Amino acid sequence: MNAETTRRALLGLGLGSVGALLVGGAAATAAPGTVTLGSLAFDVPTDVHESPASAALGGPSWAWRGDRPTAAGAFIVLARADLASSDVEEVVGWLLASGLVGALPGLVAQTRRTRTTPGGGEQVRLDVAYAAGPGVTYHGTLLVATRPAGPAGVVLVLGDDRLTAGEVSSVLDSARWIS
Amino acid sequence: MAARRRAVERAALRRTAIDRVIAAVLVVVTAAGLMSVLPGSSQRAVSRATCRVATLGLGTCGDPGLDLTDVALAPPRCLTLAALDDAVPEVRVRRLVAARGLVVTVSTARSGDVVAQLGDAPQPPVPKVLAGEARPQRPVIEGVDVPAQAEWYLPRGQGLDELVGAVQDAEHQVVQRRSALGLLGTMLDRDERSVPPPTLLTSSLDLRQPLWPRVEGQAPPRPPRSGKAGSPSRVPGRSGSSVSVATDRPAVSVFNRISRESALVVPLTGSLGGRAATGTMRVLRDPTGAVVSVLLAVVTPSRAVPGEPLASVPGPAVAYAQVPVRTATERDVVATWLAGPGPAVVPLDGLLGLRRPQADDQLESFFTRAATVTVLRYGLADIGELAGRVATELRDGRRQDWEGVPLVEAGAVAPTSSGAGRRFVVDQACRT
Repeated sequence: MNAETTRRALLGLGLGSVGALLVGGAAATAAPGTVTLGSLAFDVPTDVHESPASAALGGPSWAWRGDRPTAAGAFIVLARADLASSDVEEVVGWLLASGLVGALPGLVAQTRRTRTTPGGGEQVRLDVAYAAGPGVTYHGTLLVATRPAGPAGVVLVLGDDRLTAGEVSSVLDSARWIS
Repeated sequence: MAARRRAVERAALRRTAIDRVIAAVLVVVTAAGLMSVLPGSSQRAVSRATCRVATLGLGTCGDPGLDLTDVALAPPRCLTLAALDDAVPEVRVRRLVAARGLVVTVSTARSGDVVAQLGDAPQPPVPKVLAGEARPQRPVIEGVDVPAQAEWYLPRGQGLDELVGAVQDAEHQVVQRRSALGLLGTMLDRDERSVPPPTLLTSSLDLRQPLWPRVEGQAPPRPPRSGKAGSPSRVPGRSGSSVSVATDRPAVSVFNRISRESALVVPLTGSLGGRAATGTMRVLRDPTGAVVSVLLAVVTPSRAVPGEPLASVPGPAVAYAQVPVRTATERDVVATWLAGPGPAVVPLDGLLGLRRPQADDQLESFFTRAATVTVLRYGLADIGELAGRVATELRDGRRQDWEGVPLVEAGAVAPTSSGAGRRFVVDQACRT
């Protein structure tokens, strides 16, 4: 009787552990939210929420602004898909132009990576870092996706020192044209 | 009796028919003779008219009717202007009009490079791209539209005839579609060329428009790096001669789809030698985004550089400073300068003041060491008009001779390896 009780207790413990793992794993890999702007779509983590325009999120120029309001560090996702161009170099030039009037203090931009975007066209990724405020450096990656007929799409993922490359890639790797 | 009368009638008919054939041949020969003595343009016009009548207006009817042969630009007046061609090439502008009204404006540089503009309809305003504006279309001839604020850059002029031919083909298609026989014409005529997309695209940018997230705070943001090349200053130089980027007017972006280079053209304001000065700056980036040259043009009513003699005829001057950026160190200096906490400032004490640069100012040291300065002074010209012309020159990347306004003086300051010992040299060949 004792042996049976012990066996059942062990089985129950095992089942409970498996259940806890499944629940925990499901929470950790919850389905991300999909953002669609015109023909451009990308996924953001579920804890990144759409926010209203503000200077802290780049102003009203962006069609979609999202951030993660937690103590885990800044995590900002900005996007638009209405730029009248079919050339990535032209779009990158537009976005970095305001550095000339002090909008990007200490800008470091490097590592251009060109690849194709799911759904067609090419994309360029540019790693950027700049002083966003007193003692605050934002770094991240700018993705510019173009198609021959335009318009161009832009997805910018920024954060502070706690932003990881994996978090950036999880958003940018999901960028795709849907029509 | 009746048979004899019929034979006489047949003979008369034969004679009449032969006479008519002979008369027709004579008319053709006479017309050909007359055509041969007409000027070439008239011959083409008659041929096109005949062709149009014969094809009920649906035929392509001959060549474009434009003289697209390149006519070489005369050599520059002096070596100073020849050197300026490297920074802002002088062009010869021709406005050509085809038979059906197509206007082609061809700007040809001494290098043979051509920039073509189609049509003469007014250009819509330059699109504000970051505000989400699309590039509008603009008619070049009836039924044929092309993107506005766009031009066709044609290295060595190659492809100009194809461009013009393609526009005329497009017009031909429009005419065909409107015709009652349009369907037949469309089915039979399948080898029409399509108008190639423009290769120079101009856009307007409001640099004050917020785009990049900022964290509000009391202290000014500190750059994340001091920079391998030091910290070029963004404050005016020793005597206060400097110009800075003006934010009250939009910047202009010009993208070249052939070279993949992008130019950012911004207005400048400041002072030179104690007097107000305005100007324009053109920052050129290669396809990787690296700055490859900085071209500065400062307009002033007084002396642009020390040692510049006053011309016999008074007038404003423009000082061009062409700074090529070649090495990684130079790119670092320029990149740090362009990523300062405020509008970029160009110190002029060393660049145009010809003073020895301060040892701790790497930007000024680089500019004075690398810049080729060219000064052109125009007699009795309006300084505002000169500033406008210079802004257009830097936006277009080309310049034209200023008709009706004399160039009374030209001179240059050559770069030196240390930045010291630079001096202004008048080019007597350009002095009036």
